Amino acid sequence: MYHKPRRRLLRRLKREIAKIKMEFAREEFNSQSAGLAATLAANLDAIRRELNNSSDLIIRRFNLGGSYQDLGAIIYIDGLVDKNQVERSILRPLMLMKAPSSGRPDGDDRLADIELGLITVGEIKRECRLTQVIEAVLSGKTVLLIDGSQKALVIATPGWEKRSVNQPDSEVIVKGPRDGFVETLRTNTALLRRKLGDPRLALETLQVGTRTKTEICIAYLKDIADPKLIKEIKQRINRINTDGIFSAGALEEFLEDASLSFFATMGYTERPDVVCSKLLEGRAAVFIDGTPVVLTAPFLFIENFQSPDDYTFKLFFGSMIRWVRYTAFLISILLPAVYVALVSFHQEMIPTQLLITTAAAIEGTPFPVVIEALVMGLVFEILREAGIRLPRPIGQTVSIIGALVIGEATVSAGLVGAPLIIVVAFTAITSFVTPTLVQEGTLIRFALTILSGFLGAFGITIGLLAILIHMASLRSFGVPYLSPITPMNLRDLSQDVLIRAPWWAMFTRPKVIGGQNRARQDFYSQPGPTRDGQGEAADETLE
Amino acid sequence: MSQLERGKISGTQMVYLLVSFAIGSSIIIAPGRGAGHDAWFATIIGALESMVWVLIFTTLARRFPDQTIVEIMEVVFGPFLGKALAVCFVWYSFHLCSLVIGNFTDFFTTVVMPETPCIVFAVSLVLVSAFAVHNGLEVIARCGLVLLPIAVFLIISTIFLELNQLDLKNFLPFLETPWPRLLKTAHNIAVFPFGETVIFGMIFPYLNQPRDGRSRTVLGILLAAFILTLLYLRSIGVLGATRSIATYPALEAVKLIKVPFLNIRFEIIVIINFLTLGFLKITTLHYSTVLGLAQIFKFRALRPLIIPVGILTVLLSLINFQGFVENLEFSEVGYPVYALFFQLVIPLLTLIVAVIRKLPSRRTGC
Amino acid sequence: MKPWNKKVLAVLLLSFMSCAGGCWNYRELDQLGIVSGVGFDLAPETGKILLTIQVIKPGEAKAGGGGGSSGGEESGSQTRSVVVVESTGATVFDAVREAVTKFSRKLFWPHNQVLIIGKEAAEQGVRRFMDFEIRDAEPRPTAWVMVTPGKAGDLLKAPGKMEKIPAMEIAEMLRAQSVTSKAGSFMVHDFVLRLLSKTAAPVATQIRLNEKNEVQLGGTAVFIGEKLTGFIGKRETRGLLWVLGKVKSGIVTVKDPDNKGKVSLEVIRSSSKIKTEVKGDSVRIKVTVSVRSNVGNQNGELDLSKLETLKSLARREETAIRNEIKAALDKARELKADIFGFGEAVRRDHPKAWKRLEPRWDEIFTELQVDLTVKANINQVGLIIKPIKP
Repeated sequence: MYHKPRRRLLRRLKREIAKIKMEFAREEFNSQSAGLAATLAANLDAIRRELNNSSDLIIRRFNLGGSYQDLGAIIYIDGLVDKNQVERSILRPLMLMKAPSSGRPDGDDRLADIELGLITVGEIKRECRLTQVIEAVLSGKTVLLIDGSQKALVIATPGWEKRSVNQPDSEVIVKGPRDGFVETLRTNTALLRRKLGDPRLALETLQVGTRTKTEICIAYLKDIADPKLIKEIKQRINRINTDGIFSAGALEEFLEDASLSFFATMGYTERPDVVCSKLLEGRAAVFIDGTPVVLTAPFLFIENFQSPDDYTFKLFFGSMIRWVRYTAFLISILLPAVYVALVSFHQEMIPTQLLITTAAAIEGTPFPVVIEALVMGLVFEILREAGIRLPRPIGQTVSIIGALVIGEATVSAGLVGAPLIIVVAFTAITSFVTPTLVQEGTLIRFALTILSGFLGAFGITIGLLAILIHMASLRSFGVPYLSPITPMNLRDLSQDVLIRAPWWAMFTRPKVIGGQNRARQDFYSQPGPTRDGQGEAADETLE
Repeated sequence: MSQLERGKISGTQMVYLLVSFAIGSSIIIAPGRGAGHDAWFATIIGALESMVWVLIFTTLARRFPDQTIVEIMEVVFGPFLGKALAVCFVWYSFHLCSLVIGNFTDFFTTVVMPETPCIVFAVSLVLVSAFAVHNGLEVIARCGLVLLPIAVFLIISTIFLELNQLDLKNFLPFLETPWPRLLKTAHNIAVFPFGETVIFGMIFPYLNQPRDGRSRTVLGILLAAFILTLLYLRSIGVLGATRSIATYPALEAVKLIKVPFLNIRFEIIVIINFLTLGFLKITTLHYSTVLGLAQIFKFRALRPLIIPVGILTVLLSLINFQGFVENLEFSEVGYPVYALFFQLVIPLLTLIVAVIRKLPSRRTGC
Repeated sequence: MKPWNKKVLAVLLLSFMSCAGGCWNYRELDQLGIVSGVGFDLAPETGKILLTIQVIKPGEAKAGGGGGSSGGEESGSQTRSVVVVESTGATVFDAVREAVTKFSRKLFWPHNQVLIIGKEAAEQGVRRFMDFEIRDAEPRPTAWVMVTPGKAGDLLKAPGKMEKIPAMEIAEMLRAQSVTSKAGSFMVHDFVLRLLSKTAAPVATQIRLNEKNEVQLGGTAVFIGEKLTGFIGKRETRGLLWVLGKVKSGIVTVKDPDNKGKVSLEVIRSSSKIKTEVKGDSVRIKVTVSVRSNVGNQNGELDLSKLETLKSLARREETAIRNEIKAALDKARELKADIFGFGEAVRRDHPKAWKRLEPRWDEIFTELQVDLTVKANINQVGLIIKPIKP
């Protein structure tokens, strides 16, 4: 019955979108201007005009190699280049020396002579379009123009402010490397290269954002990653047509299979070692310039429970800690709901003594337990949010005040029962055990608590079933989100889900990722003393 | 082949689904009340008996490896009669779905929440199953992979918790029930739950290897029979004579669990567990009803049918029976005859006609 | 997500919103009257069921709350942690609902562990009580069934000594009784099982108030069908428990072989086996009880390092146990109640003959031939081997 208005709305929306698209196209057409002019002055004028005579635009004119006729100019943005390098490797040789000439006075050839003979910078490129020149300037390169040439030299002299390589705050581990990604794409890819010296490591760069022109780099191992996966990622990135992307979160939403699901189907990390191990498993990583967060795909649910520490701890403890995380996640989504169900529906499940204690604690509280649980959950979320955004010392004060005053005072004032405070606090702690699932966990927790308030354990089950169905229907770049649990893959389960298998026993890459080249190592890599005393015999002969 | 379902499930996934389907509601209703403490034996005989009709409908499915049973009927009997029979079959699936929902709502309103109206349970179950059906067969099968192991784990742990209360004397004298009654009970069990697997005729074509259908069905039924027998052994061993007067024997057996040092009753956990299996059964039935309807009436998609079928199922489940006793009588007296028509007669008839008419005409070698 | 998916979600949400209208079974913990014990009597004049319900007051009964160490003088403070409610009705359920008129909270049964039946009510038949206990979803079939020669209500009104909740103290006492095995513990489930049998007599623990107004356990109440016929004493009770194989522990005191004193033997483990033989109309029951025990204490000066001494002690223990069983058997015959479940044993072993025997089982039982075999075995003698004697 809603069809008519909706259709009209839809048509209007479509028209709007078409209009916007046309605007985009026009803009792009306008900026697709012609190539460079032959005279320096015209080119400089054009650049100045395009960049609105911006105050950080530096244009330095000079004479080439002491001659008064040959004019040249370098253009760069102040703050994006290394001034020392510009002076040492570009200005000084150009102004003080003469290029070994090939003899022809043609402008373009002169540029080639300069490139080959004078400039001592590694990364250099010739460009002939104005747009590309401007883009180069904006991305922190120095551009050299000389009079009479229709080409420009784009010289990489990066020198903007950057953070040093530090251990990421969000992913602290106990035993393992301490480096983390920074905001600069090239630094990040370099960090990865240092970990992964394989020539088959492919880094493909794409650009998104019509205005931000953010560089995005897809990293994968050519002979391991599934080619279909890489193709899919590239397609999805190329499909993006927006003005700006500067965070991993935004890109993630553009790339995900089901971006309206509250589960993340792309992983993120700030650690080169994590990216490295994911690439080795056949996944792909997406680096984004300007953020230390690297996306990985495909991303499965169980990856939320894996930490780099699992693989550095001894395997028994590593396996146990896995199960601790599974349990903690279950507790964090279920505990308030179960508490509500037990206290308001299934009191027979509480041991008699505990029942008496709980009943005594709850007696006289004015609100139903569901309401209390929801409100206290909300209070906790508010406290957390307040604590995160504020500067650290104030944030701590907020949490202390919140925890002590609100927790203690509400109980002693008889507003909520003490057991509920314990439940909420414990839930909060358990939710931090799986940091990547905090968002999902919080939503599920509230939903289940509400359901539990209506229908008790039945409600919880219905809720869990719905979540299970939803999760089972999710895919991350074609890989079922819940695999290898369902669809089941026993080898993957026993290698990295139920237990953390010893390194030497993980002789296949996860099958569910679907990469090529399944074998990871020799079948018999289990260490141990050399058999039959051969080792000793060898020692003796040495002596 | 139609494009109503693009997903494919593996043989293992079907086994899981079939086991959940077979024990899904029989776990609470406990058919085979008639056989007293020989019910476990009746279960075994019943499972063997149901093998006969499993052979019939799987033979049919193997002749038409890429068609559902509804499509097969149309091919075999022609558009008019075939459609009529297919409608009958879909009706069975639909009715069965409402019966299972009725069982669960009855169970919940009797045992857990007597004051909550039935419709709440029915509606929430159907909504969740609609959500699953909407997501397709693959997702249903994946849910089965998760839910069944949890349920089996819980069933086995309750058995362990009750080992100290198990009284082997309760099984004696062996075969006290007279044979006619034992066989009648066995037949009841063959019809409910094992024979109901005829519904999987709607699912065989979506197997990775449709030819596996028969072996997987047989395997599934054997596994389900094993689990059910285990459950019966437990409840007979623990409850003894009280089993025969209990409305829900499985529940009574769980009620007797005593956890050392903890004075709690945790039957709700077990109940909830039964519910998850029941959900799989309801979803499978809901799915096959929707798929069958879509194939009969040549829908291009399942989606428009899911919610209407769900609503009708809820309504039917509410008017099926006045109360539990009527339900009990139907399941002991009426159902074994009623169901036989769909479980045995229709597939057998279709098979015979198919053989006579030498269908399918272009055989791909069987 | 596709629009359809949204629709499904919307329907889901809406339906749950509609559920918000009534939280049907939602019952706050502080609206519940947690029943800790229930007593069944007959109302004096009307002959209706008189229900005595002990309900926990959580605030006072909370563990650790209040001054717990003040001891026996303040028995008043302990009674305050429970409330005792009485109500009458034609059926138990009727009476339960009636109780609400005198009491602010909804009664909550799953935590009830103790079920006491008064003598008068028991003589009238107990099926109606048991029906409530297992028909309703709330009470648990693992509650203990007890019968008192007096009024059940008085027992529930009696103050406890150790625990704050008297009914829970009774349950604890029953659990502690297993060290003497002079009172059996029978769950509702066991009781109902016997009620369902045509021949086996239901039994329940005997509980009473002694002269000092203290709760005391010991002995067994015997039913025929659903009606109480009599009580058997502590000795006979243990005789019964031996046959049922329910003696978990206990002390058997026997005379010294030297006749100088007495030796107490602590039972560690016991098991029993009942075998039946049917020849025509004569039934023969063979009961084999095997007992393992340790020497607990002796008054005399027995040298226990000798195997022979131990063996003769074991013989004496066997005799003592056999006498207890015989006493129980005699009493059972006197009451004409098959408390041992011999009938069921015959049914299990000889289903065909049983059909013939069943109608006359009452007669057969009284002249049943019972062969008793007791095998006692003494394992440990404690931390000293020889007597304390120069």
